[in-house]
Amino acid sequence: MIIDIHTHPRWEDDKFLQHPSPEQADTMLAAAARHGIHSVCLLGRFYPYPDEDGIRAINDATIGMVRRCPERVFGLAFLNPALDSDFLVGEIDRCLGAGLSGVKLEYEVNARDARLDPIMEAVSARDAFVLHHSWYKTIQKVSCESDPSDVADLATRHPRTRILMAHLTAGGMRGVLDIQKHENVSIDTSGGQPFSGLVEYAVNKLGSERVLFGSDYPIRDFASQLGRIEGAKLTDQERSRILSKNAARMLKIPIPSLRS
Amino acid sequence: MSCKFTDTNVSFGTWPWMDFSLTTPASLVAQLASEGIQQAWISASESILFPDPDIPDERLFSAFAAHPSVIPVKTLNPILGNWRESLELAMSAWGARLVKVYPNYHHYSLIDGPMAELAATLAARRIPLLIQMRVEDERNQYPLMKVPGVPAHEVATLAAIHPTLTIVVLSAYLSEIAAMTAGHRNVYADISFADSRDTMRHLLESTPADQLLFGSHAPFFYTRSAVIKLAAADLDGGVLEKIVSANAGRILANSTKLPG
Repeated sequence: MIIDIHTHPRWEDDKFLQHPSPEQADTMLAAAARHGIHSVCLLGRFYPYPDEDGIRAINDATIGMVRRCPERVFGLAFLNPALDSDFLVGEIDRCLGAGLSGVKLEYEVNARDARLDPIMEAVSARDAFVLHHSWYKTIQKVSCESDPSDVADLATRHPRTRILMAHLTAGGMRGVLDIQKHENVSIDTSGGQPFSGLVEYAVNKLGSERVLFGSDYPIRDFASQLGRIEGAKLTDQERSRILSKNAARMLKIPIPSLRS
Repeated sequence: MSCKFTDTNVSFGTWPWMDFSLTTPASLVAQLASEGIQQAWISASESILFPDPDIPDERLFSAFAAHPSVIPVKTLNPILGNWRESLELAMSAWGARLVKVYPNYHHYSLIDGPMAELAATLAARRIPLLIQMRVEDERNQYPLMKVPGVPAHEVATLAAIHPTLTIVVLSAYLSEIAAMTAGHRNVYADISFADSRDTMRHLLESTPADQLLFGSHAPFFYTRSAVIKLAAADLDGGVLEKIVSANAGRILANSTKLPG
């Protein structure tokens, strides 16, 4: 059993659908199943810098897809920390109450910004988790985009909040070292090209309990992203943790039996 | 999938920002064989940055002389004063059959200057030209060594100027492959950097199967990622065979065979 912790609803014509229908879940699951992926976690965000109405619409779409197939589709509430903190905390309650599993933050506000603090505290109080984008970029960096050192700063401020830092390849070895001492931070393998050695490095530095498989589908192919896990030099137990058990623990769902 | 692949995009050696685990010819060949690779076109990664490619290349050809599954690739830098002699040495003494260039790292244009004579020479002698579009994700490069990818429009122009020159572009993005192969039947592309949802379907919508090659970009990438891209694509047997090995075999068969 494989759980993909980092997916987005499908694109059409190379654009995120602004309001994906619940039926999009069926399409996602069918594509995932062709690669042996049983469950997906959807990170709602279909356009940058959404306002309150946009946030509600994004999260309603994610909730719709999760409710379509709650045993196999999980979802995170997308938030823009620049918005009013009362609205954000209320949206966390609304979304978790509707079946979502945590919060996704992208690059609207940098992770060092105090405007993230009410979100982190609310997530911690509800024993959910935050999946935070991060990337060490030398070109194409977006204003306020966080890198792993920014996520490490966030983890220092909120040591009791579970954080899943996105994009192992994007942070590279430096990114792994940034979060190594922060036990509340795990990392997902999603995105970027399948550069070799990084999965093994992350397991060595963080332990296999803190590495989760993610694809970033449909920006990336399930195939190339699974290849980095299948091709890495790992024990069966390490691979099983990365492909499913750690995600199950993060999502608070029954832990799958060990893959043979 | 029980295919016998020809991997057209493999390197051997070291790279300053990566820790390749396959440090001997035997270990690399064994790893490739374990992934179903029956033939590999291998170039020396040190020849990208080392001032005289002949030195790492001589080691490469010597190291793999005992491995019949490997076709060593000669790296040429046409801005060096001795490239003609370097080509003759590689063809006559080392048995080289393929030439690779790195226009971005060696800092020249494909469509003017020293490349014009090299392209004409290779076309006249029916020696395939491999163009490495990139070896890294430009967003993740070392901040003081930003090397952009080779411009796809230059490849298309080169192909138009030399319609009898067989050009193999390696590590091109999906959109670049479409731009370079359209209208240029002498251009082939590997699949290593093409990555989007349903990669192979998208590739085949824009590029005939006759012009696509299996390439993994190992050991920069996990070999398995490219293998799974094809395995999961559910391609027609004839299409699959072309990409897996037949096209590469045709390129080699049509090239000049000189005594080793």
